[in-house]
Amino acid sequence: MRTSLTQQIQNQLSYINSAVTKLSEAQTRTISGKRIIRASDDVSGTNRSLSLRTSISKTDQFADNISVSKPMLLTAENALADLVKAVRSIRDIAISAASPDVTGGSGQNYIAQLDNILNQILDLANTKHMDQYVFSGTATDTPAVTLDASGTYSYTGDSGIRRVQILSWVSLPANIPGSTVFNFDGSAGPNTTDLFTMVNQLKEAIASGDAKAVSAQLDNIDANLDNLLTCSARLGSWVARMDRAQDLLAETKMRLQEMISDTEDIDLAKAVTELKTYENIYQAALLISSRILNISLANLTLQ
Amino acid sequence: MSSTFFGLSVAQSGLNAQRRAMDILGYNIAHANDPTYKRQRLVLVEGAVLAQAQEASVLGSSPFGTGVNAGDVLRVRDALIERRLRTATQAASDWQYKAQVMKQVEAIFAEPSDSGLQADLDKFWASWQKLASNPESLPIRSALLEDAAALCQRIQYTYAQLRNTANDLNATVVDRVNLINNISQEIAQLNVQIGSLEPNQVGTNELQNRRDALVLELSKLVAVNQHEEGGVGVTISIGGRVLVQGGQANLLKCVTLEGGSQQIQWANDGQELRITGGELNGLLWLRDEAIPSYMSQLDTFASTLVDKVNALHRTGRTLTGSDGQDFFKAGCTAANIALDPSIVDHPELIAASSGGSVGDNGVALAIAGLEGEPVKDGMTLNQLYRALIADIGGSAAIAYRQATAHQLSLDQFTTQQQSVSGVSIDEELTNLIKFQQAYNAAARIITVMDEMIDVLVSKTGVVGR
Repeated sequence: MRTSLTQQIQNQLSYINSAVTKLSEAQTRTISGKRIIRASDDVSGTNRSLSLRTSISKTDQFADNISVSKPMLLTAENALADLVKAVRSIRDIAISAASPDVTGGSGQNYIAQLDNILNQILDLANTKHMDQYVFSGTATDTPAVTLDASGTYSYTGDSGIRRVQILSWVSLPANIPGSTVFNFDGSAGPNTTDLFTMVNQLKEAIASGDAKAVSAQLDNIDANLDNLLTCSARLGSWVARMDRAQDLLAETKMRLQEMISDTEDIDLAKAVTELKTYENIYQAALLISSRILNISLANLTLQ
Repeated sequence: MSSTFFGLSVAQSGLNAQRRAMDILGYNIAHANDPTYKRQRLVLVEGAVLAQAQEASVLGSSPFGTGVNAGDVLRVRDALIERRLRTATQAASDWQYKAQVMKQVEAIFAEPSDSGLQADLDKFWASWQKLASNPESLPIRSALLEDAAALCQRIQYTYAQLRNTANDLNATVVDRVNLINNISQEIAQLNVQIGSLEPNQVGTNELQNRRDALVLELSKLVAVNQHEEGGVGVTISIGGRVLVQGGQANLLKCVTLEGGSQQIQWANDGQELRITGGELNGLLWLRDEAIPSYMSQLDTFASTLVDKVNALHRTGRTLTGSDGQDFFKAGCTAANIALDPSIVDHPELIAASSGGSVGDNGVALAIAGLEGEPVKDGMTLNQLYRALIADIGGSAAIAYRQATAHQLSLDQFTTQQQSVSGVSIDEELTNLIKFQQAYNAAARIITVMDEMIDVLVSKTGVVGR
């Protein structure tokens, strides 16, 4: 084929251009560390990487949900432990008071103790976590239990349960309403009363010096104690599940990040080798051009 | 018998012809770097056979030519390759234009990245989750409003960028049509000029080269057909209608349609121009099909987001216990998506609660749950967005591949065309030696003739002197 000067120059130029383009693409890949810089570089990879990013964002958010809700559950758990202790002392007092040789003086003593415990229970019922009443259901801005002027304790929260999402497919309650904990809803069983009425009834029985009436209260006390222990166990199991979910989320995030890296990132060794190759090709193209374009009959000198 | 000086004039015609050939060779070398130049060759023709000589042949001696004449100066070219070059040119510029603009469109979305629209969307869902864990908190509510506003701005910005790109393309149409008109008028003028000049002469060839270059330029813009290949006047047509014929150029005009779109029409009868290739084809595809489709997909995404979030939000109760209103401004599309004005400065009006208690998070959870719910044609909002990105990425990938492939074939034909018509210095220099030797030889003949006449004049007739 006949070769003209323009053809030769155009060819050399297109070799140099394609070498430079490849070199600069390889440079961008190596410097950014990314295999996919634009969506068109790998359409399905882009789709995967976007969806992986969403998953990571969700994983982070679930971990965040847990870190917000777990302290609240732990606060409730602590309060429940104290409640159990309090009810156990009530039970001890009831047993002591039920023995027939209780004198009037010690009865007053028991009643004073019970009053203390009752106040303690009221304080525990209105436990707050970050300005939110833990046992008020979802009405977290109102105290769970209030004592009115006539001496009646009433539940002022609601029975709402706030659920939090801890994994894509799992949501857990982040609270346990006071109506259940303090047995305002009769969850301890039939013929039981709420915790406050229970103490008041016990007080009345002791005041009346009726040992039988006192021991009659024991069933109610036991039922309430069981109820508290059940609540505590449920809280405990939720906290444990959150702990497990936290571990799982951390692991999932690591795996997702690996997958994003697999999808988007370059194999550095390969990229650098490629970069070197294109650098050599570019140099060769330049060298060859500078040699060839200089040769013509016009400037050929015989040695 | 021919004249004594006949040989001299034959040799002199040789001198002239070689000189002329060397002039053209010099002209070729001077244009060696001009890609539109087509090398020229002098055709040497034998001089007329003399009538006298013809008579002489009757008398028994051979007829004899009067030497060599410098004849036509031809352009060395291959019409078929040039036609293919034009076809390759229009396909390559079509795809290159698409590739170039698709690159811009991809840059508008800048996915995949940690700062694209997807990231804003993920943040928006996460904010609802955060609110669900802490529905009473005003700071978290304010943060949700910020994140939602950021998402709105991002969607609006992306949409506006797409619209700007389409508008720029629309303005470019006018520019390109002016260019086509200029070129076609110049071709018509060249047709007239070339027709008035003697064909196959250096000056005429120059004008024809210029005309070929213009037609090639025109093929970059739009697919053209050239008839009467290489003739005195060429006829150029676009989409089956004549653009240039002889000295007559039919002009195009742009008409602004309702909605601002520029339509290209024939100036004389207002018929729409049919375009099948070239930059304009790519431009119109982007303006009328690709970008509007991306804009409408973004619209669908935005209005679905608005409708679904609002529908859930209206079922909820605010922190103050009132009924939830719209979260986003109702009926918004991607162009004007924004938060409902009533909620902008009132984070307490976010309706996170389903029952009315401040700690209730039913609606917040439901809205956060929208993320994984199929909301339109079996796709979630995230999937709607990812489908848009895949659509853009796919079209862009095709455009890049096609642009590269067509550039290769264009290079191929350019090489072929240059192989035929381009100037080779080596070849010209070799020819220079050839012509120089022929010139030297002709000069030698004159010397010999001179010596012979000298013998005749000075050395003969001296008998008896």
